[in-house]
Amino acid sequence: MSEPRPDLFGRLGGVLRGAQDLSLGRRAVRAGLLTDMELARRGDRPVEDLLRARGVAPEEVRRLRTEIDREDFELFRPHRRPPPEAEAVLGDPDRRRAEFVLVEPLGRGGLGEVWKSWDTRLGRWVALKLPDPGPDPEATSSRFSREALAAARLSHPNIVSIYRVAEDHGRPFIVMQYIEGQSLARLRLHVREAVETLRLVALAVHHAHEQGVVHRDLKPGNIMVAPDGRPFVLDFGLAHLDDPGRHPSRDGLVAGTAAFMSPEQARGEDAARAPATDVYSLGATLYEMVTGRPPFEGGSFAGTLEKVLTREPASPRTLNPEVPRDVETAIAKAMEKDPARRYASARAFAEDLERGLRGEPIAARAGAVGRDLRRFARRHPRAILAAWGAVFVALLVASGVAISSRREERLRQEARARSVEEVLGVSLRAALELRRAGANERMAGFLERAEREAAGIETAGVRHLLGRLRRVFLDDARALAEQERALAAEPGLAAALYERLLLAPRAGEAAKLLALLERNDPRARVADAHAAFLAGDYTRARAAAGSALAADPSLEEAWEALARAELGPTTRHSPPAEQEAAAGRAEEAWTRGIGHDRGYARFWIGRGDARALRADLKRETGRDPLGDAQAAEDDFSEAMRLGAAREGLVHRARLRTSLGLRRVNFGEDPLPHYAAADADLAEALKLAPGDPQALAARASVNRYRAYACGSAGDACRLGEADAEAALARDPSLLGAWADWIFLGIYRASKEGSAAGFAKAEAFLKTAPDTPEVAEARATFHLERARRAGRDPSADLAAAVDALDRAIAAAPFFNRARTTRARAHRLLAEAGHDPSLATSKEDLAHVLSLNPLSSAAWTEQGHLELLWGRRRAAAGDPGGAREHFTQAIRSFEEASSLNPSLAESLREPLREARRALLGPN
Amino acid sequence: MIGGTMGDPNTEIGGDGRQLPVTSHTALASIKAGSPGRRDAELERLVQLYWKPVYHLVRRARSASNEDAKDLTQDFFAEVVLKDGFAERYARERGSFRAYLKGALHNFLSKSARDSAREKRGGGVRISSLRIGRGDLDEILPDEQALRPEEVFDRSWRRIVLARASEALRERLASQGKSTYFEVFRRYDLAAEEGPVSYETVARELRLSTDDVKNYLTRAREEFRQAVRAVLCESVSSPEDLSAEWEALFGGA
Repeated sequence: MSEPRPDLFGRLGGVLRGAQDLSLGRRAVRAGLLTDMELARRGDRPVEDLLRARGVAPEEVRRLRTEIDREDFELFRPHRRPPPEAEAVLGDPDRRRAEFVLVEPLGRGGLGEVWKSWDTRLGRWVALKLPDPGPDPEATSSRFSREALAAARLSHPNIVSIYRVAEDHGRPFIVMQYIEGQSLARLRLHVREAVETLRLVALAVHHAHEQGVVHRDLKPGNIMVAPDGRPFVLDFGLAHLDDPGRHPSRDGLVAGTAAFMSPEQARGEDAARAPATDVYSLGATLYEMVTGRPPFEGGSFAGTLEKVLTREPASPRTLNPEVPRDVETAIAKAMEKDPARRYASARAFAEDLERGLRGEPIAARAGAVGRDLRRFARRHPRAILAAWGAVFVALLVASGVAISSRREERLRQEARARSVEEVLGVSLRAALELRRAGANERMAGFLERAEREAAGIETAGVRHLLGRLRRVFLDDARALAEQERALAAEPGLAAALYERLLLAPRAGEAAKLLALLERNDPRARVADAHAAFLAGDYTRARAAAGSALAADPSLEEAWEALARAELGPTTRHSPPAEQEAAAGRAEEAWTRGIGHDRGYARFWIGRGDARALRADLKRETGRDPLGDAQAAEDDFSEAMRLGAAREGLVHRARLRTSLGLRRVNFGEDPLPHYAAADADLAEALKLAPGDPQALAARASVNRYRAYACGSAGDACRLGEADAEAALARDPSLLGAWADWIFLGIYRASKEGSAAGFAKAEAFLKTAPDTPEVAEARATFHLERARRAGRDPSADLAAAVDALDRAIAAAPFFNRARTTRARAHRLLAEAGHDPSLATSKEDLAHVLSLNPLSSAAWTEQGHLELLWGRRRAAAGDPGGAREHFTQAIRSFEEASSLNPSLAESLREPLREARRALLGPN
Repeated sequence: MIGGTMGDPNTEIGGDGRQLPVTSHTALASIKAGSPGRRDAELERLVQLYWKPVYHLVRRARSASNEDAKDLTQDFFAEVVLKDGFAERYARERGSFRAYLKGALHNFLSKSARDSAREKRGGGVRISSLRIGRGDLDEILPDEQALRPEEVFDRSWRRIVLARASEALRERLASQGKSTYFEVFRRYDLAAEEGPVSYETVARELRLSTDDVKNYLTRAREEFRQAVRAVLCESVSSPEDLSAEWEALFGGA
């Protein structure tokens, strides 16, 4: 048989045989008949030869081949049809993940949703755990790999098996055993059944401990009971792996459930990674199983946490008299606050429960008396305090020490301050950890509670912690006040100095504070980054922030410093490409920050700003900004959800204003965007009356609204009032200066009021010297030049002069260049002879950056028309024709970009056409 | 070109194969189990897998014209394969479904040679939805004049199996966001008709490192192996059958 081309069958046959051979080789490696190295280095030699050469019997090779066939057959030959409920959704692409069909949601965990799913390839039910699409895929995949790693170590009849981590379009998910049954959170068992069930769970947990896996989130909801009564431990998503190479897992507090969490876990201690933490949670779980309610209920996460730390649960027997005394004792021993006093292992707990079930004496009895006393003390703190107080005083008296009542009072206060400090420390850590996981809704109550505790205590430690907690909640002004109180009590308190540096940064002060901080603390490097940033040394700022983050990536202020330093060297007048690159780097830093502190609203604001900047740059350079604008808007919305409502609203309003401007360029109606921005700002001002940034933003909206309406109206007056109020509070808001002046000029011009112009001129004298203000100054002169009965020449020249200065300072200031071209044209129309070459250059510059600027095309049309007239007058018909042609092209371009210009361009366009073609 | 985007007909194997359903549930199991509601759909899948090999065999065996061969093929499915008892009889036999089908086809052809009156029934299965392009067979027949009809059948079957597997591979890798893996496989293994391509060429074309190309290729080849095995599993009833069909794919039994 002749083949006209190389035989594809032959080739694929070779490929398939090679793959099959490799598969045989891998199996041989697994069977210990071959090493990985030998397999990798075999070259073209068939594995079978290799095995023969190593003395492996042919039957053994055959056996391996048969195994492959059997396994493939099992794997690829579906055993049965999908059950009807799976078949019903089989065709829905949204329900497909790789070869799985999502059939029914089973619940939500810390990481995402869990679905009962059908495995179409293997024909069986599985549970799929699908991660929420988080902002930081790295963090998600690290949690996933933690769960998968934990599960890979565990094979136990009472632990849910994880089959594998699969992937769908690059997004990983976990495939695990599906347990038909109910979780202990829903199931009520008789006391005896409950104890027996928990005994099995404790043995499974012990098995995990032996493999170096601590679960850290044991609770009734994480234990499923199959219809035959067999319990299964689920959800190792928070597990700690005892592995020297891995970073310690640190989000135990947040996703853990407060009521079942050990005190050491609530305090965020390292000890919370030891098996004893699971022993506690097993005890707490059994508590709920036999009493029907969790051991602690505090109304809020913060409240429950506080009880976990400071209180004893009510005795189970008072809630359910059927609970045997031994079970109560065993629960109490498992739930000891001090890990060292608990059962030494989960197995010891299980064994005691078994003894209890058999009616034998349990081990926990031994320490019962001391435990009862400690528990009594926590249930009745006042009584015990009084008792101990009496003992203490008695002892002092007995030892002959006379103490004054003032000294006693001071001692008591110091003790109280120390205990409040401890509570604040725990609250701070808890609130931060919740925020880092984006569980901001669970942060409610921490601040109020802390404030109540701290009331009247003026120690540096308490004030500092309260201030730090305020910063966690984004209340910088009051955070600063607290740090100042802390420093008043203890001027050298480094932690307060550090906070102060972050909160009230002035360059000189920062350098001084920096000198007081411990050098090798990562926070000193953050402080260094801030000081460098303020001094304008962005390279050092970046390096210092980077080195701080390498030591401790949870320092949110270091991410802020890094992102700001990325943007530091550029301004809005830098070359657009540089700005865009800087925005990209800042965006990346913010994104990584979000990965570490999901709930820190300022990261979202920062990233939204970086994206909004890119949207602006795209708009200004004739590209589509909508994708970036949408991403920015999403970021701002997230920031609002996370508690930065005012900031989010103001930033979103600015973004919306900018989108309105884009519509203006294309002759579309921008007013809906302005109205949306206005609504945001009204909301922001309701939250923070008189907020200068919101006022300044509203002034901007009104400025553009006035332009869009073509009349001064209320918009101008409102805008002026807002700008004035904003500047009275914060004169450094440079944009507000320009807006204020523009508004004044626009109104004066519309109303034709000489007084208005005089007032605007007075503003201009006080305004700072920025390119925008120079542009405003030019506009002032251009508008005044238009007034009837006035020789415009002096004003036009002054406008050109102001624009020259603006453009010298900001060469990429497109609007100023377009305005300068217009000023030149007006000068020419007034009989002067300005340089048309400069205008040509200006417009070429603008259009090369932004070929979609309808204003620049319009101005270019006018310029060419003017030029054509000049050439014609100079007797150069050829040159004139060229310019008229260009004028027509420019006007047409302008009105095709912005149809609303067609009307005003009709006349000049007609002139250019006539000049080109003759009167007909 | 299998699964590729450039429509070079010279490298197409299996033609329509790439439009066939890829994720298949076992056709045979359900025929055997006789769950009546889904029977037609399952049969249709089986028909799709074997329609063309049967057609090719018929054409070769009868030297029939395109239209006559289509009619005969249609009749074979309508009167033999889709008739009650065909699948059940297979369930009692040993060996591959392909061999069983070939046997049945032989009997059918001998019988139909004697029997000119043919009744057409379709059993609810839309066989006519499968169209065969003109020239499809003409393209391969000249080379295959020397082959026995069974060999033509097997050759056609091989084309379909490989085409379906490569399409399954393409979809599978794409769903994992690993289209590049497939692209490497396509360029290196599937599209190598113009002579061998080097790792370096593929690496350059796809802007990968040579190491990446090698790694991707190893992975894609293993997935291809699995995909082929999965297609074979649709019409076998034991691991031994799978092994036999695998060998048959390379021209064995």
